[in-house]
Amino acid sequence: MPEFLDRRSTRSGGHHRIPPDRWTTGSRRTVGPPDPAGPLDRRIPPEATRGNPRPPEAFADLDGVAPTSPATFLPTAPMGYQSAMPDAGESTTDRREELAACRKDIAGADSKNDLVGAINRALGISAPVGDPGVLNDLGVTYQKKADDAEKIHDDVKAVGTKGLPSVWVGQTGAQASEVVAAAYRDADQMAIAFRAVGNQLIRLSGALESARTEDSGGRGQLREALTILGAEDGFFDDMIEKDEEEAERLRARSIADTGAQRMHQAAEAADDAARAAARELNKYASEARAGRLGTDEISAADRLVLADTAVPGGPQEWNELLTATDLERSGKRMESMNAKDRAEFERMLSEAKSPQERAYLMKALAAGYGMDELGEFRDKIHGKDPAWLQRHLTPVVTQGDSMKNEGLNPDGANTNYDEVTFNGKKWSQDGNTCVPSSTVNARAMVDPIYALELTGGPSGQEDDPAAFRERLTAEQERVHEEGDGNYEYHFPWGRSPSGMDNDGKTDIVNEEISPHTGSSYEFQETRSADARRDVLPDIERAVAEGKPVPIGVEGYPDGERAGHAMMIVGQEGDMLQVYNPWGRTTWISEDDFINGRMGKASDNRMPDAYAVHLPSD
Amino acid sequence: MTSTLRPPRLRRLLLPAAASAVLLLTGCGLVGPAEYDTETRTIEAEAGEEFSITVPYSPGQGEWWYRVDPRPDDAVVRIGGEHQDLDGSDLDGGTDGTKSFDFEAVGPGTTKIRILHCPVGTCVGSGASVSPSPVASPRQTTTDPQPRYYTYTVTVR
Repeated sequence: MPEFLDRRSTRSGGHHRIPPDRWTTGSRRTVGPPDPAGPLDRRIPPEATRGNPRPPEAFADLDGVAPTSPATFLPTAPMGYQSAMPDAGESTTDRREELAACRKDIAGADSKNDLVGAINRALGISAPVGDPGVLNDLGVTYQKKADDAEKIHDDVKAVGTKGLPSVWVGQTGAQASEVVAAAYRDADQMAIAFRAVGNQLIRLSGALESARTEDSGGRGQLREALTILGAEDGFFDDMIEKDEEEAERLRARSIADTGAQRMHQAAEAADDAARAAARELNKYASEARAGRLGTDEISAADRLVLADTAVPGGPQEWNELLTATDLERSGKRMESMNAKDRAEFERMLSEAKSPQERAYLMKALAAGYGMDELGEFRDKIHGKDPAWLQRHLTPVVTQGDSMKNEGLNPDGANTNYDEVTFNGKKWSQDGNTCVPSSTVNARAMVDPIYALELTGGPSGQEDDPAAFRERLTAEQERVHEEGDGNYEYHFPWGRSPSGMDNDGKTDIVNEEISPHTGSSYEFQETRSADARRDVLPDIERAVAEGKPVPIGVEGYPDGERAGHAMMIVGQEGDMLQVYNPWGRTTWISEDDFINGRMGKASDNRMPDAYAVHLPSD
Repeated sequence: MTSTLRPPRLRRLLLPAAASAVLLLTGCGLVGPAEYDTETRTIEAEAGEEFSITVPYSPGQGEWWYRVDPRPDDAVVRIGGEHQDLDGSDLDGGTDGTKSFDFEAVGPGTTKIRILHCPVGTCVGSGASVSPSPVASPRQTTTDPQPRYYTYTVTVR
């Protein structure tokens, strides 16, 4: 047996386990990139490690912070930034918005008392909170850990290139070569994650430091303006303003205006930096997926391979088959199984003919099905090749060039998009069924048994695109009915679907998607740029974990409202992957989402994301 | 996955039929300019008469209609404006209506007008030079709705 596997087996006392402290995220950790616990522990303020509920100062802008893992920087939905200022109850976004309002008040103050009041309100808004020094130290620690991960990566690569015997090493049948390949990629991803997290923390540190300096300067100017103005006037004094008093007031107002502007810019910078950091940390936390499969029923080697398994047709890192939510839910399901069911399920896993077959069984388990349904599903997919499995069970495959910016069509849509098809037939809406159609597709993405019903029919063996299309249309209509959708009536024969309101949408996403991800959805209106900016971290975290996020878009062509439903299904950096039930996916940026450029994912007739449905738990 | 509903695609067949019934009236000049749909593509008009080509239109399904080259003979037919008549809706996916292209018969003769229907994502270009995407495009699937030209023959007396 190769040294690599030997070493692991001796550590794990019988099972061929990969030591979690070497390259996995830690088998019991629910979220988070690999945990450099030792060095980090030394850098966290001691009070923060002893159950002190107040987050350490350095992370306060990122809310809900516990000390030992980057996963703990994550803002908790939907309060992404709201405990940033525990004393003032302000988030970075609140601060930014309140300072914008104060700036307006100061610029428009036409009396001494109004100006004094506006300045005092601005001074009452807290400065950006956080300790740049601690953040910087943490970033440096992560960068050092990235060096360690790269060393592991090189070690694993060396093992892989020596050649491995074709032996089974996992309980569920993961081959040694698969384990090594997975470990190799995992170590590579770990190094990338550590490096990126470190860089992000250092960037946040720098941005926070600059913001605090700028804020401090602005506050000084506001105080200077107050000194010029003196105390507020009494009632009668306020009625008459002499020329020299007016001149002083205008001078003070000018100084205060500059000061408030600096504070506002600092708040914007802090908010943007905190948002970017949260996005990146959330993303990397969700990518530390092997640790999500929190069950001892599956060995570390198997966990690693399962988390690493991807569907064919695109880059591996964008097409991993099991999401973080899948891994977590399937692990919990296995833990709660009785001995008989567990033995039966492990038998299915061990008899799987490919890593993909094994991963789809886990995905079906995560989707909440019982043993009978899992057994039927297993019989239908057993022995199918990875391409067949992808075609029937995974509607959306992300292509390697899908994020390339190829410009816009004249109608405002991205030129670059991927068709979502089954043997040439699109996963697209038939008629005015965008709400049920996007829901059906989202469910198919999280529920492989459902996907197979649509693509493979009752037997699960069909490969007929026309039959698929008929089933898809019927299912769209069923879900339209379920959501009490509207109908257009045609004299004298019948009716056709004609849109759905948000109550119906809430019902169907909770009926169709939630049972398979474990998260119920709540409607949230986002009819302003600030509202959309606020909701972005929650969207990004949800999709990174594998929970699709329904969005409503609208526009007013020729003055009449046109609405459409789409689904956010992926995230990379500051880009969001959107499924449009017209049968395609494409990528838009955060800025596009915030600033009314959603037409890139449909067309310019419906540019504004006016609402989302967020997974609430 | 059962459905008791008639497939919505039937609507697409019904709309032109219903529209034709209306056009039988409007085409006689009882109310405003004559309107023609995609079923009636032979148009006869008196010089000075205005007419429209009006088609069912659903922005929420990503469809577009274009008046495309070649342009009609200016001596026979003059191109007018184009406009939409949508039933705005608070729902997602409920906005339907019509799109109209206006014309005026100018002088005696015969000419042709071309209208292009583009189901979602099937055309490229802009304005009068819009055309169906090349068939060879890897993004085009052969079994989904295809773009289609409608050519109208107009005779002005």
